[in-house]
Amino acid sequence: MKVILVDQTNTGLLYVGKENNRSSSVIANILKNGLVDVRLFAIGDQNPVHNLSNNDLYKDKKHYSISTKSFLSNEFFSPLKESLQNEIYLKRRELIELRMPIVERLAFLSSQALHFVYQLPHFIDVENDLYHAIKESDSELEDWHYGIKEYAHTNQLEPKHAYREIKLEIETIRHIKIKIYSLIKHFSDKINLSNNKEELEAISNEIFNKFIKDNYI
Amino acid sequence: MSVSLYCYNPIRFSSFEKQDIKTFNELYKIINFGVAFIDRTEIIKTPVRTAIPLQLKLPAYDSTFNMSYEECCQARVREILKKQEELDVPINLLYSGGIDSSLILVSFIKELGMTEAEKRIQIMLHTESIEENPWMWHRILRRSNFKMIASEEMSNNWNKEKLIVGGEFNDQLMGSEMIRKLCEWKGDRILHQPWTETLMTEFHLYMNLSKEDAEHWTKVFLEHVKRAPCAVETVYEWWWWINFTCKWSSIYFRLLMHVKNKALVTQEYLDNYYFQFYGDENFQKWSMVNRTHKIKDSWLSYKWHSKELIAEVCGEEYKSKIKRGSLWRLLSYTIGAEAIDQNYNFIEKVKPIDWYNSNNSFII
Repeated sequence: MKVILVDQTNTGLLYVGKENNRSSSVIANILKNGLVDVRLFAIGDQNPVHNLSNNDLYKDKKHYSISTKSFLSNEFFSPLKESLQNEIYLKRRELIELRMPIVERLAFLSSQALHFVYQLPHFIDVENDLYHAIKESDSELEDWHYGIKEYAHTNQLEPKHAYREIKLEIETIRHIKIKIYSLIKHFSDKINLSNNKEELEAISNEIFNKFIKDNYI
Repeated sequence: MSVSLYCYNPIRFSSFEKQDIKTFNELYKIINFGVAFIDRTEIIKTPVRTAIPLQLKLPAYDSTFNMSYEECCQARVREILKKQEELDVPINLLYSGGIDSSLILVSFIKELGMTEAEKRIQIMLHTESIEENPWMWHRILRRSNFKMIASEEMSNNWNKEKLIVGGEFNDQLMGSEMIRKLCEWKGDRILHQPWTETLMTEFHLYMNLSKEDAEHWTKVFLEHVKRAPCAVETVYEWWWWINFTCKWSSIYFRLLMHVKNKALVTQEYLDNYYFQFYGDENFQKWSMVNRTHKIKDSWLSYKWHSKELIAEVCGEEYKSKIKRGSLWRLLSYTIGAEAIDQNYNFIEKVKPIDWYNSNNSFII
């Protein structure tokens, strides 16, 4: 599967993500938020556009039009007629070309940061169940959700200690995720409000400093 | 007189296009990017206009100082407990599970006993703190009655309802992670060799400084080391002294730079509610006098005495623990101030030119 961005003024293709790449979807969404009248599609590998990449669009300077009527046929994409390459579309291509490397850097560094987040072993989904167990317990009244009791019993702890331990883990994980999410939002907005190379380069440095250099204390 | 900075994020000065700043910034090939290098002996003049607050001034060297490191720990505990009684607020211990914060916890437990310590101290920790010192977790903390708070909450919750105790400065007393770099360079045997100008320049070259900058930095450091009030004779001592004198301010302020409730940070607040455990006069005097309890003959023995004191509570296995940085977890991925000036104003966006000091040691 790949994600693509399509300009709604002329159905021109603006962005093609990498195959089965979670970051591509993050990148496409951030880029989309900085432009109006742009649609995001997810396409399967049977779709002919699947063979295209951003290099075709930006390195080879090709222009394609997407037909949303025929998702699977070979007519799904065709060269975009010069007459349809309107000013708005061309400006958007220019902006995407400028912003894309910075958004890619943001996506990579934030994803790397998330890998540092302490993960609960074996199954990450348990985080929500544990959060629920904490929310449903009352530590002052010593009224414990069954999940807390189960954990306490298995680990030979008193329920109050089990509660404190789980709460610490969950709060830590959630807090780091929120910190990273806040930074993604902060920088996405900055990138999408910027239209020139110098400004974007400064933002790119700022991203690198925040995710990497500032941590060398 | 113009205002100076108490602390700043040096990365913000890295793109400043001046020859002296460029030479100065070569330092960051040797030390970490985030350290604001401020010499509290005031011999090295940096291109950034800085000042040292009273509480961070270097105490006078006292060759007759004879308190042991352990006595310094217990005296510091008593001082903090006295302040707590006066203010009637809980102590929040920033516990990373590293050597420094583990020793603080051990020292409090030694002084108070477990039951009383549980009443008076709240532990601010991270899941990493458990991994960092599993012995402390399983033997002491896990089934204790200490109140525990996720340290991720830290920057959002600064107030006068608690007294903050952190484990900063032990690295400056002992020599810091720079010692590891020296050992990587020439092996453990380099530590206790007498320093020479040639050797120190070679180290700078090893750290990728250009020949000109390597020699200039040696000259700057040499002037600084020669004027030390205590003996600085070996390669290890050379770097210990530089860390002890020039990283102190940065270390004190690095946590404060991330405080969200900035109005809280005043001289009165810092004097009463903010304690970096290893920063008092006793510890500093101890560090200037003591030559035996910081490191033996290898990087692995760094902070060996601190580890022995912790092992009394955590068990013999603890002695094999090595030093590794753990504070970054707490401060990472947040936006802090870029500088704090000497009136405790937090500067969100620093303009390097506003703080430029032309009278510096890096004009070649």
